[in-house]
Amino acid sequence: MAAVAERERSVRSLLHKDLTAALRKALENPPVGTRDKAVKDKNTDVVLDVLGAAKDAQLAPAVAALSAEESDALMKYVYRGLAKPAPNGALFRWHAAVLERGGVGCVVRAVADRRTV
Amino acid sequence: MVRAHQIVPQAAGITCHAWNSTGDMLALCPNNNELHIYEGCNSADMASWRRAHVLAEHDMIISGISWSHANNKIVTCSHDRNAFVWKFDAAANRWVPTLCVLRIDRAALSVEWSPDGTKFAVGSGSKSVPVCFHDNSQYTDWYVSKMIKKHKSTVIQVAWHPNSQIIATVCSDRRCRVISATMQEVDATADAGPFGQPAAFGEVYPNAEYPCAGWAVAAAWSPSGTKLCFAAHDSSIHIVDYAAGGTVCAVNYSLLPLSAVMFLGEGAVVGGGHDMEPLLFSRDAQGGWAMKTRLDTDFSASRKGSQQAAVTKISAARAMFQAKTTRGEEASDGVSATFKTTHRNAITCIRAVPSGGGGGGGGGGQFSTTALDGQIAMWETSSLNVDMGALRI
Repeated sequence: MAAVAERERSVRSLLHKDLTAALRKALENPPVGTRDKAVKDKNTDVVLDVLGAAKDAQLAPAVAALSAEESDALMKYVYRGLAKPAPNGALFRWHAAVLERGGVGCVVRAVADRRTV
Repeated sequence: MVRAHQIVPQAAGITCHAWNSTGDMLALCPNNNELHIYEGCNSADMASWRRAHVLAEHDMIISGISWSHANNKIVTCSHDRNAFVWKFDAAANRWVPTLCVLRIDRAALSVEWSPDGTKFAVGSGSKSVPVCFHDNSQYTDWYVSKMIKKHKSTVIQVAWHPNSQIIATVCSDRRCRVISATMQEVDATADAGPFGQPAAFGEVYPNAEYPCAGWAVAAAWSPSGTKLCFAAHDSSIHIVDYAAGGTVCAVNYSLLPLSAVMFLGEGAVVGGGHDMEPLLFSRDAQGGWAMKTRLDTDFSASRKGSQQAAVTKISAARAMFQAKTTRGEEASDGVSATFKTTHRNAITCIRAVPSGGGGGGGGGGQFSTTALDGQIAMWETSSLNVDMGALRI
């Protein structure tokens, strides 16, 4: 939990300077192994804050800068975010951008993987 | 480079197929309880292949067919929890079934003869793998089984190592395992293949349980038995190289999951599945593995960006189902023209075609794919070699 709080601070400081760096920081080592739901929720909030702060023009370059593992993780967070009853129209644009990069295999992995975020 | 034939109606589909040792006979199941055996399959005119036998001994869908090239026997397994070994009686011109005592209480999903033809392994929904051999100790004529019980869920496929004493199993508990199938009853000496010490029957070899993120759905050994490939339902394939100390190379590719894989030599793997076309994986420059190409769309005249083609295919599939539901049409010309692939549904089975079989071949090897669209397609590997230059087959 402390690690997630630390991550939140560094992501916040990056958020308005360098969106790509903030996104990569937010997707670093997602807490897939923990059983603590609070940690996963908190980390999801951090990632979704970054996704919500992005302007349309920033999407494609940010996704292009991700590694294959990071884009798979991002797709998992997009689906996690879409599962929330909240205004999340931006997530559809992210979904399209990640799909463009990783193909349908990325969606299959996000849905099939039991190491949830 | 590819020839396809609508061998059973499109609405039926094909669950699995197998070739005899000379490649002039083909066994397939048209998604029901019947085993169809075709003759004259060495003719290049695929429409002239003749259905010679229809064997309806099973009660439910046949899920696996394997044709032993060592002793010309066919084994089939079915969702009805039974397996039959078929022997050809030349005098009566008919195939005679022999019952197998599988001792499973769920559907059988796949079956494979060992390369030497002495035993076969069945993957089943009862979390176990019966390995069957002919019981000639008494005055009986049937196959009895010994159970491998190391799985936590359904075993989807089994693959034999070329030494006939090791099997790889892929399971929906998201594991691929390499297990000893050495039997005193049929094997004179125990052989551990790429492992140092032979394990007892049914034991998983040390460090040979490989995790993946989705269900493990397909497995294959390379011809030399030094490499193992398995595919998972998370759009990944994993290649284990025992010559390099059992290192695992995972490839997460950008398309849909595979349901069958096969090695083309030691340096390339071909897989077929929900993308309706074979995908080719091979060694990359760094010594790892990578997806090399899609055998249909990448070679077609209207070459598209991979993503664009994938989306087009999904919309084409949707158009097909729409045509089926709204107009009751099988596939109007307008719809089929939107498919960029030879197959129009998921590929279920890939087999190597024995040399001289299937007609054509052009001197090189061939493999065949069957799919849920009822087509069988023959792919020439020699033309792949030419087209892809650096491919090390």
